[in-house]
Amino acid sequence: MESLRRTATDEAGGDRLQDAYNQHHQRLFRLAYLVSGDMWLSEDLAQEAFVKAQNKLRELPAEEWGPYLRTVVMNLWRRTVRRRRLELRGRNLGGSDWYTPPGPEERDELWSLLLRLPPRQRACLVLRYYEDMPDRDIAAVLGCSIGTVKSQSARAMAKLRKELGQNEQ
Amino acid sequence: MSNDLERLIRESLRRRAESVWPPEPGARRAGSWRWERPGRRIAAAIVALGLAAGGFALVLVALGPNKVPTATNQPATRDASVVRAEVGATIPTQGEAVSVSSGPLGVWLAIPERDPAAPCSGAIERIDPATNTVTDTFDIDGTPTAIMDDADLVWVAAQSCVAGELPSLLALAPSDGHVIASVKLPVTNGVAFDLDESEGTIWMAIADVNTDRGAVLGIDEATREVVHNFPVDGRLRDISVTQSGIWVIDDMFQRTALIHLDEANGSSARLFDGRVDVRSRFALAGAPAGVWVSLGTEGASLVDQDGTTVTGPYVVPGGFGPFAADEAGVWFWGLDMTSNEQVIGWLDAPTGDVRVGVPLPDAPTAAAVDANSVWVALSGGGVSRVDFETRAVGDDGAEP
Repeated sequence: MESLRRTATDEAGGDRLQDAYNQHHQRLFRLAYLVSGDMWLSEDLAQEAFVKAQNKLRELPAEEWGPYLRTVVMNLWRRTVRRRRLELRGRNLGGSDWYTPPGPEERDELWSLLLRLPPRQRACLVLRYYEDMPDRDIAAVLGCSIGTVKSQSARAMAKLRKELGQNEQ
Repeated sequence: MSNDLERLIRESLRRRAESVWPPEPGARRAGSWRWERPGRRIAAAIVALGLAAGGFALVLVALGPNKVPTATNQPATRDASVVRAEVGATIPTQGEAVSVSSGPLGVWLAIPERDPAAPCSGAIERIDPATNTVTDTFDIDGTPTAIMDDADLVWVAAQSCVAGELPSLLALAPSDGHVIASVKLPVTNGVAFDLDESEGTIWMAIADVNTDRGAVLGIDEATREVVHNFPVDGRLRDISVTQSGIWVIDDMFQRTALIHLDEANGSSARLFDGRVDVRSRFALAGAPAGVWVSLGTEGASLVDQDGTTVTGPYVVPGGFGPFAADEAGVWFWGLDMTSNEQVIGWLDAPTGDVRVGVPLPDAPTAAAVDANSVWVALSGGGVSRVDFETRAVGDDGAEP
């Protein structure tokens, strides 16, 4: 493998990857942050998305890079959640949660409530209200049905209403 | 109310998103975690374009499943250049296995949950290598998280289903799965993800999942008593016992490390602080010359028995998760950057060449190697058998 050399095509692919990175990295990082609540994990997810998507990015027109990368980031995040499930179960025996990043700097009450939602419910709200995606596209990104998106979103909204209502009392 | 809430959510998300920026180059998180310079992996990925498009694809084309029959009577040889492999049909199981052991009694799987709705529905399953089918399923009182068989018994680390109760190491009879011995492990809420054996002692790294305080324990196989208890803090995971001592992976989020313990007194040293990659679940493989440790996109390195000399890193585009090794090289999990498929690969240590990369139908969760096959448990359930020629590696690489 060491003897292989990069070809001109590969260098062009590298340029496209760099362009995609410059254009989309920050937004991907922020999307990952909103669903995970963890800045450092978010940067891992954003960078890994580019690594995984590099070949596809060479083929896709530039206007499709954003949606494609967004899907890759969400897939990576879902994989991370799945992999931690066993540890989460273990942790839940004692009540704590690997995916609840408390953050001493936390002052935004609604953000704090969003972080406490189950991962998929939080993702539905982030994609709907931050990415402005229709339910059909959210379902495609999350790999579930439109009905699931609607029900998960409704449950999340109900929880937020309840929590906010209780806190106002 | 609804519109107000939607507006508040939009504002909160926008405000929060705009308040965060990717970490600056050279930024460091508190503790020993080291931030990798942003863009570094991108640069590596750009370089990997050529390597991946050429090297791995060539390997897959040359040695891929379509071209490589395995059933031959050729004698085993140490020449890695003749390694051939193919992946068979997925063997159905009753759940996702988190630990696999292959030995003289068959291929054993630890399945924490057969029914996701029933938290305490764990089981042990045995695959008969002759028929590639599950022949035995044994219920376990608790959640099995690690398994290892020896010549007579099957050893299972099991988490208690009751909060606050101690986990156990169970010795099962392979014939009917009845519990011959149960050893309480002195770590409350402890989980052990890996087992190893050395000179009559079963070794495990176990940690309290709530406090991340744990220990490396040694249990005497004959007396079934805890004879070693070395306190070690961290989210302990893989373990491998070699001639120079005990090697453990600390999976603490973003503060991973390879820990070396002296078997005599438990004194420990941390290596590769913040650099060990545990995302693939394969991060450690013992070998006669030392241990292989995964450094993610940096590749994998071979640390010698003294812990003083590091060979490598050997870079494989897409990642490198070692899980079994001998003096000639190492079996690893990887990602084929061309096809985006998860693969099982073999790296020939003397040359650094990847000699085989076999695509898997799904992400692996655990793997074990015997004289003829690599057995890979898959995410979501099922086991893939990767048949190969010429390679002979002991389970976990600890006893080559």
